[in-house]
Amino acid sequence: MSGGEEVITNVVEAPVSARPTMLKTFLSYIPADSRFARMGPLSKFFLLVFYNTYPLLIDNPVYNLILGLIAFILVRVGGVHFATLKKYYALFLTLALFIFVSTVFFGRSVAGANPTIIYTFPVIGVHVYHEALVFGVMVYMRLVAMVCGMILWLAITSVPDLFTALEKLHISHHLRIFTSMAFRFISMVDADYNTIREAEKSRALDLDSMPLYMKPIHFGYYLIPLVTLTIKKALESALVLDSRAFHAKKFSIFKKKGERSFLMEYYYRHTKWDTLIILIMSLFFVYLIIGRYYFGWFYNPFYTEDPVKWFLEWPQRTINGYYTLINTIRGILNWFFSLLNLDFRV
Amino acid sequence: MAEEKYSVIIEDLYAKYEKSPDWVLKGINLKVKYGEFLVIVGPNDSGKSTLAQCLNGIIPHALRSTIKGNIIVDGLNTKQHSISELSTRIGLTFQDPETQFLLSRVEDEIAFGPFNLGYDTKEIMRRVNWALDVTRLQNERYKDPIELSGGQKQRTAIAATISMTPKIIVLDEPTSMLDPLGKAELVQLLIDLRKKTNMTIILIEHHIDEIAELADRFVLLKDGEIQREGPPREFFEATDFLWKSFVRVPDVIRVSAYFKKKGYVDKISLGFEEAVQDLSQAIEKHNLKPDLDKYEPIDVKVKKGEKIVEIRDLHFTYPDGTVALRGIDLDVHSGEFIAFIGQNGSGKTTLSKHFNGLLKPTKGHVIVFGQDTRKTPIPKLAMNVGYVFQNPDHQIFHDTVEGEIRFGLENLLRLKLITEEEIPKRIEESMRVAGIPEEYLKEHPLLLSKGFRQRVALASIIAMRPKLIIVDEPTTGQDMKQSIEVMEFLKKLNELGHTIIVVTHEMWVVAKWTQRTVALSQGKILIDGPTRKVLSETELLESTFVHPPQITRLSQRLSKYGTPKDVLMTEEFLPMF
Repeated sequence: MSGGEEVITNVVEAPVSARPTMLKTFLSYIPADSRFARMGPLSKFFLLVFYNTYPLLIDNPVYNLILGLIAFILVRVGGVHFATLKKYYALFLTLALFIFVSTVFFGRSVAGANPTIIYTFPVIGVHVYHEALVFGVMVYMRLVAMVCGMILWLAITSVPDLFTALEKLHISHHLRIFTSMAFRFISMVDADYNTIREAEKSRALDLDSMPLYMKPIHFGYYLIPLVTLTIKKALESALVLDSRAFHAKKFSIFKKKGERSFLMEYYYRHTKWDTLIILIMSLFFVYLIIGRYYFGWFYNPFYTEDPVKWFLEWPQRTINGYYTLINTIRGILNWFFSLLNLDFRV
Repeated sequence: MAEEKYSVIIEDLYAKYEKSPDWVLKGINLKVKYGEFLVIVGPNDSGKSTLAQCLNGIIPHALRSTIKGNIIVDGLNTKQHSISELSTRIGLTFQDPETQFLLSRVEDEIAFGPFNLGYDTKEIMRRVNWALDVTRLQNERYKDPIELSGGQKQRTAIAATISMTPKIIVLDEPTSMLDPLGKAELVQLLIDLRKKTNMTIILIEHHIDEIAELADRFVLLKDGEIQREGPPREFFEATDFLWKSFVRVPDVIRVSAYFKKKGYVDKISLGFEEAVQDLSQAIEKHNLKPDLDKYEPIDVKVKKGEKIVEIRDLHFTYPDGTVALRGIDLDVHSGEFIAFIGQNGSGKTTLSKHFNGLLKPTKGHVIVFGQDTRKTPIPKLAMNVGYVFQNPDHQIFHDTVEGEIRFGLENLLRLKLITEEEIPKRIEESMRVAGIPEEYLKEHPLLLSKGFRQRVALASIIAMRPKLIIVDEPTTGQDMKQSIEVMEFLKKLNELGHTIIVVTHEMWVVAKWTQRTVALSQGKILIDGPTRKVLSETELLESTFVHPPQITRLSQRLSKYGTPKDVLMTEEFLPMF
């Protein structure tokens, strides 16, 4: 008799024209029929995880630079215009500045027992160590590769992609919703921040025209209304969550196990290509671990005073790596046989 | 049981928040039938939103509050059942659609409720399709809700509520943040909801021009009590009482109530077309002739002075490529009281932000008090041009009213544009002009009502003594009393010599207080001239979904009987009969 279930009749499907031609991702828009748009949510998620793990296993800044460049090329291939990436250039510069300053002024701790001084600042007497600088470059390139990986992920992933991937990985329902809401709030906070900035500019507070040292002091004038508004909106969103049965438990009446499935069958896609991508990324991960820990392939050659010698020793290190790897496998197998009480060893 | 026919039964309800000293709701008794369309009106802070939150269990389950009495919603006592359980019976949508969006696609947003209730994907999609159909959002289903227009956003929020197929839906001031097109879309949705479902609709609303004829019953809530209720024709009999209770009675109802009092008609007309028909018949039947000698247009008088703003060939394109202004030519003279009207996206706000340099022209120039905005720093422009934003909370950060007003002055002091001795004098003066009592000086601004927060925001601008004041949407979210107060305050400033520009969607505000109106459409000036002349261009304005006041349109429709075509207020119309 009311707005109950029986009123849901004559369902009209969405017109074909409603189908989006572009996919809205965290960063930008990409063509909806592109390979990246069609890539499975899980492969995208693993891309994020692996791309942020690879640089941690690689010390060589050249390799990390290559990793970063590959990510950048993939972003472009994905259909994102480089103009969209402009705002990240400042991030790279800030990172470089921050790491340079820290390694120059606070680099003694990472420079080792017998550091090489390459420069000493007059008057203040601060030494610049070769080892600290090499370390700084290594850390910087690692971060560059990770940021590029993150940009690639942001450029090809939509919120539903992330949502579905988390669901597939059995991440809790609450955490999934909060993750999604966090992304929703970013745009809201950004819009409020811009309005507040304009409102305070209208009262003659213009941070843009202030010297750098004055900005942090006055930033509070932006921050207080921003926090107040955000809290208000968060409270209202919490009421909306309640009103939409977010905390429903025993009312999960239509699914016997009470497990909620958010359009999983609708959004989730996984093709053989996705399996292949995940497999390749996993194999590359294993390759990096073996390469690093058994063959010493990805260490930073710039630490040594003689990089040429370091490269010439590569065959010897490779042989040693294979030897160690085989010994490790032998050890594992023998331990396994002993567990099974088998009188057999390799 | 006889009570089964009622979807909502409220018995002797008292409610208050943890920190409020008094009861917000005081002994409410109300019964709502299944399928009924009930409209609740009343001034702000009368308890309307509190009542809505009581209905779906937010009070007492989610907010720290106390209630006495009972609310039975579709047979469930809200005190004994959780919000989740109640949500299958009653849905609530809030004022601000943006805070209601939790996900990033329209269809996900609509699917969220059924998903929480544990339905499988097939059932969820069936409900999503149905809700999209009812709210006419099929073409928007894959879009991000944030990218939709105001009306579409509110429709999405309603779709997200009805997808849980509640038997009752409560809409808390859904049009308060919408432009005229959004409001029209929402009215259409209410008509569709009534046609396509049998939901009980409880609507809390200030803008009732288009609603009156759709509703089954009206309730006036004031000071936490029901002051009046009844079917629309009965309810609006007491026009004067409602007017004194700060309910903005639609113009056509006021006119037909006047005709009924005079004995020309038998009943009050609720809708515009109904009024045209009833009044035409009455005029013909009683052979009435409007007495044009008694037609005295109440025009706003201003002291127009020298040119203070010159805008030539102004084009503006946002960094994302959106072209917002396309060749604006405009002059503003000192002492004028101007309204900028138009749809959202027509360029009103973009244009007004050029006056104090918040935006710089892409092409063309803006000269304000002889200074080119492209070459003059904003703080210097702020000395002459004050800009008050729609939401005072976007600028309030200080812990006292005094500190808030002092802020702009200290910025000017830092720039050596004023002296320290001037500050206390200017604070005192601006508080007096803004009507802020002295005892509020040390109060925390965020603890004041929205009306007073807006006054504080205005006072902090006035203290800088700008010659030109731009106020963005001064009456949005305000009830009639607050709207009148804020506009009277602006009128007073205008009389003191300030030039005022208001950006607004409220045509009755434009008609009553402004002397000149600039209507914008798609980044161009559609029409610019005296308010009376601009608002009389009904066809032109309606082509951009801007509706002149009801009384203007009514008088134009009755013009074959001799009524003038440029009437702006009922006070001008009624003496003619």
